Amino acid sequence: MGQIEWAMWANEQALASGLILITGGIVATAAQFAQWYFGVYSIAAGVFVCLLEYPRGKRRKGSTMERCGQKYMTKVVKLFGPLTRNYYVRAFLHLGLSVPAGFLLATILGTACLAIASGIYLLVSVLCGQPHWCLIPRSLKLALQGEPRPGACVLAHLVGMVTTVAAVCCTPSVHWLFPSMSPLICTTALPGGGRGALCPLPSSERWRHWPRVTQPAEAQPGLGPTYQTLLN
Amino acid sequence: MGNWVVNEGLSIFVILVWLGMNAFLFVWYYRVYDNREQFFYTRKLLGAALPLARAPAACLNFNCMLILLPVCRNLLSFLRGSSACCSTRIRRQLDRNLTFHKMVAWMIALHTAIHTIAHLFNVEWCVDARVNNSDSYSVALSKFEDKPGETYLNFAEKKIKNPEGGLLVAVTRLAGITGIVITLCLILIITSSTKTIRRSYFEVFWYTHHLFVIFFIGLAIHGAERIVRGQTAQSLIQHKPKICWKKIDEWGKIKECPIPQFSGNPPMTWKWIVGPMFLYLCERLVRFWRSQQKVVITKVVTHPFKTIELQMKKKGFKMEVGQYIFVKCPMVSRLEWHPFTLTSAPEEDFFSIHIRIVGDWTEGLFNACGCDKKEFQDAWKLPKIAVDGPFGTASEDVFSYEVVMLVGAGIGVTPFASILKSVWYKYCNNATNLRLRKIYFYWLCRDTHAFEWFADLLQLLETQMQERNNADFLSYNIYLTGWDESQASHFAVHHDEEKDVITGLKQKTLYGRPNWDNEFKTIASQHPKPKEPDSSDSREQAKDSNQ
Repeated sequence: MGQIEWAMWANEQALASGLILITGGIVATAAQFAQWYFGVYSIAAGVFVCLLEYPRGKRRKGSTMERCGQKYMTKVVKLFGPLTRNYYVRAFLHLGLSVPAGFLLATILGTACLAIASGIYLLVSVLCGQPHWCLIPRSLKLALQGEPRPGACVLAHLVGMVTTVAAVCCTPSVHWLFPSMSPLICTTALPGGGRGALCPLPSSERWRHWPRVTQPAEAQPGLGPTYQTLLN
Repeated sequence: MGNWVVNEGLSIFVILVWLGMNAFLFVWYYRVYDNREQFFYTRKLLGAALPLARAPAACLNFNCMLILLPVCRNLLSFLRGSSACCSTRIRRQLDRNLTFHKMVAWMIALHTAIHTIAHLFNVEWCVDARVNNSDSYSVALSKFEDKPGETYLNFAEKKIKNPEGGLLVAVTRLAGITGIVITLCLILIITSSTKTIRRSYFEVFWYTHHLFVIFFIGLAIHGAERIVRGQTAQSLIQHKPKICWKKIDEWGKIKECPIPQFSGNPPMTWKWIVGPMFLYLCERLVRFWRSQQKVVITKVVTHPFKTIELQMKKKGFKMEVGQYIFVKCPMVSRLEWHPFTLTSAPEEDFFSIHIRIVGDWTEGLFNACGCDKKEFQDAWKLPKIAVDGPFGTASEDVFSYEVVMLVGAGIGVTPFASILKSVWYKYCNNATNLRLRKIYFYWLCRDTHAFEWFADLLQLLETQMQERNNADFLSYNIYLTGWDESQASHFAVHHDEEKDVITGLKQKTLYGRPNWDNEFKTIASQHPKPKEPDSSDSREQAKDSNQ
């Protein structure tokens, strides 16, 4: 839970709230409901919230997928500087924007959604460090589009192909669970034979349980050819 | 085009049937509320907003019934198993359950929007009629109240004008409260289910999605107050709207037009959703029961680049090639189940999964299995694991053909571990009965870092095939799409070496994407269809024999 960037969800929620505010506002204004000017306000607030929340901020960990065409709206966000970058400010801004829309039934859903988004931003600001929105840098974005290329690390990759195996042999409890199976199944062959409790297998032994076709499979109830090879 | 129809035709058919049902229900219920006599007076009050609210409500009933079914994975497995007589193509439709679930969810969102907007109009006009801010007919219709001799038509009770009146209706009537609550739940579920959140912050998606419980409870009681009013059947016999509607001032005074009696529609939604809710409850109980079955980790293998392999045993576990399981580790999280493709073959008596460590849960599992420690762990220290499954349509088709072409891209290569191992086991045990003669395997990925274990598997197969003098059984082509110039020069320098510099395999790695046209042509030319006997030859032979 500690690695969750709640701000990403707050962003999605705020964007949805903006759209709901716009829709509610259009209904109230077009149908000329009572006090429909709140509907006009709701449309304006919804458009502002959408423009602010559309550019997705850079994630702390991992690559970030930009929303389609967000680089144009990033300029708007940067224009307001720290005012809109800071999540504390965003939290209170969204709370303030949502209140007037609460006076109309048509827009009250937008109020509730925006208030929830504001709550999540507040949670992010209070609980997490660095409560601000970060721009996805262009050069980094190009690099993030692909996995890190091995390049000069190819040699290191070849040299460093060592696998550590944490082999755990079955304890007698498993024999109780699977009484029909011979305890031989659970033994990993040690170089030199014998049953080992915790036995490290060198990497060449990793696939020893595979059928080695040079050895014929002997019929034994409950065992396939694979486990015979472990005895050899 | 023909291939597209063969591959996608059945899915498209299912979607069209579903859309057709939605369209039918919408039009049918629109016409019911737009044409039927019992809603004549309601239409006078509400206009077109009445049928426009009821039609999406019917579609919502239908879609809310459907949405729980695709996520009952054990039920789907049961259907898959019991329809073994049907072709794989039909059974494979069950694999697209999540896509269908998302489509139904979007349809629910759309109908919720239409339903809500229509009801906004209804509430506004009802309140206006109650406070005499409307046409005189609506005002007159709103005068009926629940008292001896009459029943109400207009559900707005208090004489408070808009917008406060509307807000009051929304927060004091059951339909209003439940409507707002369940719509909020729906919005929260949707915003936490977007791809970014689902892929990167699974817990947010999973726990928020459980708001569906509140959604369904609210949905079931949404219509309990019966505020959608229509004239009762008995009243329709005595008071015919078509005759009496103009004489509203004389209602109750003349014999042919007694005061009309109204009643609310009985709630219908619960009838649609009670079945799927029960099935889903059974599904969760089955998952819980399965999670209590004992699963033992017999081996934990750490592979390079943060991949671990868990080999496990469970009593009565049977799998097919290409299936996947859901795994839960209560030590890491009590509620989360995560899917992993099985990488072992059915011939082996354990089952294994390969897990890449990329997030909270996998990191927790990594630590719980003691992979971060250098020293070896005692068996009793290994965490308890719960396994649900296996699920998915098995890739058994591969054994029905002589020549197969397998293409795996990125992480999609994982099921092929199971398939290739199973093919190999079958080949070793009984090569003569195996129909499969040749496998062309294509593996496309940016780089092989995360799939070291798979490269090792191919290396082992290569060695074993050579030992058996059948190096041509498996022909594999690895395409690395994430190469750059420094790598290219390195490859060019080592081109003539026996083994490939990246994978260590005898067959060289290729760079960039494959040219599929060439590949298909080459394979087709190497495996032509057997020539059919020429009809003219047989006629010649018959002529010869007759002479």
